[in-house]
Amino acid sequence: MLIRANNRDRVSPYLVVVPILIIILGFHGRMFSGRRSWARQLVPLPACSGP
Amino acid sequence: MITGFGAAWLMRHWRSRVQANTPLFLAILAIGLMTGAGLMYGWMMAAALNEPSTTGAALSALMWPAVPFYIVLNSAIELLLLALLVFWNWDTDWRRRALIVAGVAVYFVMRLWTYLVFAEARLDIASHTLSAADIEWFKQTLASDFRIALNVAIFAFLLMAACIPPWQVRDESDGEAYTR
Repeated sequence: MLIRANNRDRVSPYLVVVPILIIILGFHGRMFSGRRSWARQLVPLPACSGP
Repeated sequence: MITGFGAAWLMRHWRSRVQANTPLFLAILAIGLMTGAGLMYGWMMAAALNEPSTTGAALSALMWPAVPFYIVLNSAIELLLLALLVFWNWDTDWRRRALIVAGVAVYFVMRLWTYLVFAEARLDIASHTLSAADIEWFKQTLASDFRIALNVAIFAFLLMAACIPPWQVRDESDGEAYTR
């Protein structure tokens, strides 16, 4: 029989994960969107030759 | 966020030792790869900067392969492993949980430092031939870049956590608890 610690009753893991994820995703959003994004620089799109 | 909620749901409905150990093993692997590569990157770049014949174009070419390497590994940790690591080890032995939370906290500090000081400018200078000002900035940031110490600390925390079994097992025959 597995004996598990019952830590969830005292502190929620959401308190650890959610604030960290929100801040990191904010930076991610900034880095991966817009004209100077990481994604755009890593995979440069071909120059547009249209009108 | 989807990873986090998914991991929390799975934590409530399905728990096993494999579930607790898998994200820890993958995180140790990723942090170990980044630590070794970071150490070598620092030494290699310092040697290249000290070589008078090194050109800005050569430095840029040397930097470029590191960019996708770090983006892929850090994105995997930030978007997937971090949430799985915390949620799937939350109800394990308190020492294991404390070490994992400490590792995650140091990782968070390291990422904040990266995003605020290094990420944008280093990607920018790696994507074109370095000017004299770029080289000077790179020299300064290389000298003050102690993130490798944080990486080593994260690696040590996670490795120590992996040495602690997630749960005790009670032998029904004699009623004694032991770990396995």
